[in-house]
Amino acid sequence: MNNFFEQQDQAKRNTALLMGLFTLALLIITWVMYRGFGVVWNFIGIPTYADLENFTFIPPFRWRGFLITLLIVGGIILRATFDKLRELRGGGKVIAEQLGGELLTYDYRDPKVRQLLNVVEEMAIASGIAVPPVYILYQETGINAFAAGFTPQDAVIGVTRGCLEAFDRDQMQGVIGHEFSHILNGDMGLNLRLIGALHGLMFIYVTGRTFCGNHRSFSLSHRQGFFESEILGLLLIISGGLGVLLGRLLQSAVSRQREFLADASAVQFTRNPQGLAAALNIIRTHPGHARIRTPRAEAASHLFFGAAFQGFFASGWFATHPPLGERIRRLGGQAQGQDRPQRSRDAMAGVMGLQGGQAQPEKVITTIGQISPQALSSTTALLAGLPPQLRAAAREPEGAIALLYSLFLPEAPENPQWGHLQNTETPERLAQIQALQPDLAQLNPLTRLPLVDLIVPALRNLTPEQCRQLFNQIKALSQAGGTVTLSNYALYLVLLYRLRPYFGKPRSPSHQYSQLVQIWQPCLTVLSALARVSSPKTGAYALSNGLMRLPGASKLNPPKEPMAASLNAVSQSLKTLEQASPQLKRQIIDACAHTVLADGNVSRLEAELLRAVVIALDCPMPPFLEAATRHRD
Amino acid sequence: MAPFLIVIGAIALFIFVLVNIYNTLVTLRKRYENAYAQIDVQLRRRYDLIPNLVETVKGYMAHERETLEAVIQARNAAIRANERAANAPGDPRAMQNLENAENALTGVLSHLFALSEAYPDLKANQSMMELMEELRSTENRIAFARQAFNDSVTLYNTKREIFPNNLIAETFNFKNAELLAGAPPEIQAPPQISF
Repeated sequence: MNNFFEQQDQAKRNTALLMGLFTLALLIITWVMYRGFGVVWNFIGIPTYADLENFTFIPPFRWRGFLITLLIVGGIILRATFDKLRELRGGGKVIAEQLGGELLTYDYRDPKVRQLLNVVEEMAIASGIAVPPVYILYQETGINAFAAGFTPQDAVIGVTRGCLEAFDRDQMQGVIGHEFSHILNGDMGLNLRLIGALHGLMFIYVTGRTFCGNHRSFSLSHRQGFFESEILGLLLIISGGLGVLLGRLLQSAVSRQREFLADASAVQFTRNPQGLAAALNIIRTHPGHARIRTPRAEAASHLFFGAAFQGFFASGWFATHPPLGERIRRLGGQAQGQDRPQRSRDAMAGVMGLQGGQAQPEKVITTIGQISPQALSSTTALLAGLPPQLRAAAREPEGAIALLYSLFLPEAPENPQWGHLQNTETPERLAQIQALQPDLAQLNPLTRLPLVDLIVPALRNLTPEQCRQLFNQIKALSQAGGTVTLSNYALYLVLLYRLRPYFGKPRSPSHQYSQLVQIWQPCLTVLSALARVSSPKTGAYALSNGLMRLPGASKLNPPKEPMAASLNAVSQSLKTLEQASPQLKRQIIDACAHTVLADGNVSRLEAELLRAVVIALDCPMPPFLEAATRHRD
Repeated sequence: MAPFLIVIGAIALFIFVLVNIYNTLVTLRKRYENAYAQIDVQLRRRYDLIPNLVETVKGYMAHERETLEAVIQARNAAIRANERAANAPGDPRAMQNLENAENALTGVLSHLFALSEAYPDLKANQSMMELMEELRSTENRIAFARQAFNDSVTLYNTKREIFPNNLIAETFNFKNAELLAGAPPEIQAPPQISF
């Protein structure tokens, strides 16, 4: 089973490898250009460092010249790369728009669009990540799909028009599952950096081509200059082309293996190899196959589901995807004809290891970054069970805000929160909130957190000012009742971390803490808070149960009793813990799970808090709320 | 020139391998020490539950004083053995001590449970049932944690004894770690009460 945290570490190693190979390519290009220029310089006969007596065809190698060339060439390539990377920092959205994608929303009447959005929504909730925006490449008739973004938080999914029209639900689910596995396996950050690197390496090539191309149109009087620039252009093409070649080799080597892995993961998620195999078959027999026409897609061809380009530089060693036949064959070898699992609580309980009341905290870690088929079917059942009014409200911004406020209203009809809302909100919104109340009252309380996941896509379209108002209002609502309830705090945390990537500066995850001793205090704070919630009477045991999972904890004088901590302290600690390395995060989450499950029971509040903490640590955790076999509220 | 380089290269390689082996052994040792910390947590939980158990039982089985005292004694002995083992996990003597103390404690406890079979009121008591449940789940966790500890220790021992490593282990004072075995089978079988 692919471990989410190992994947993240692997992605970091691959990025380092990528940078190393990029540097190598840079040096090779510089060397070629330096030698090439040397030869050309000699030919032209302008004496620089070579004596006329010792004239050789190929001038001797001089470090100074090499370093100067390196500075210039390296500067150009690196500048191009950094420009591209800075552009891409806007997240997957930038790529989708550059490829000509249009955002799909529930406003579209087309049932196929809605079906696609539903499939994406289900899979996102079942895997515990935020629902990614879905883009359509309307001009592309080839069947293809892609996922882009640096982290699961800013991921986007795109499909071509051909894909939308050709696939039914099962096949679409297979393709989306494949894309989700790219998202969850940490492929995407690497792929985006690869785009940046390729862009830099190709820059010289492209410049060379423009030099050659432009001079065709110059008049005869410039013939002398024409000749020289042509040579220069040719030189640029050769040296740049070499870089492109190396880049493509790199691209293909990395991406081909990942494609097999993504196919396998998709089958693991959906337990339905036929869907994906059928999808690949349809691509094979479709007239345009998976071809993408937009030229900009060239640098991003490894992001796609199927091979986006044909031709010499896209086959054999340079192919970004394994051959379709091979992929179908490998899928056929997977578990054949598995029945869909029963949507029973036992199945869900089995997923979480909460079997027969004996909780197994070790299982929690294994669910992170995975989509189990039980989680998928539970999510489908959950979403199908939502009253249609709530679903409709969640899909557009106004209704989403009303729904959000209603979630923060406690049960009793007369309460200070309602009074506060009456003072601050418009009558339309108040009416909307009241209309939603009866449906919400009947809702299973375990569905509160997944409901937030449903609301977030609509809230992404707010302006930053509206978002700020939203958060202020929520804070006011939480505090209006006196003390902030932990349940509301969990909701607030999830909302904050889901919306943060879309508002404010884009942030790249910096994993600066890799030793426990650097994050000891924040760990203590968070685990103490969880211990006090989970077992008020046996808090010491719960705390040590979790704390001792952290390596080296016994040497750091762990306290006997859980400390009291304010919610602010917990929030601060979570901010620090977010910067821990993936392996350390794995241990922290393991410790949290052990603390919460120390008494063998998962109450709704504990489950919500645990999930909120894991999301705050930037890890996808599927909802297991329905699996709590015994819950005391 | 060339032989000189070869010698330097060989020495560098040797040092590299040495450092690798040392680091591996240190990492594995840390790992089993951490694994012991988790057994420690569960053992302490068990030791904390026992006085509650004795208090609850005392009300019903007042004249079984020797048994109750034996339980308390065994518990205290086990606590001391655990402290010593926690300071030196894997040390053969400490592990052996702990095993003996734990076995003794388990023996006395099962004797106590056997006796309590004759007191249906006690068995129906709410706190007694909760305590039994807690003890049972703690036993499970001890077993689990012990297995993890033994796995880590086995891994460490293996890495310590395989060919190039065993030459180096002695020099740097990597001793063989001892497993923590569970109770021997005869104590685990329920005692037969015959009248």
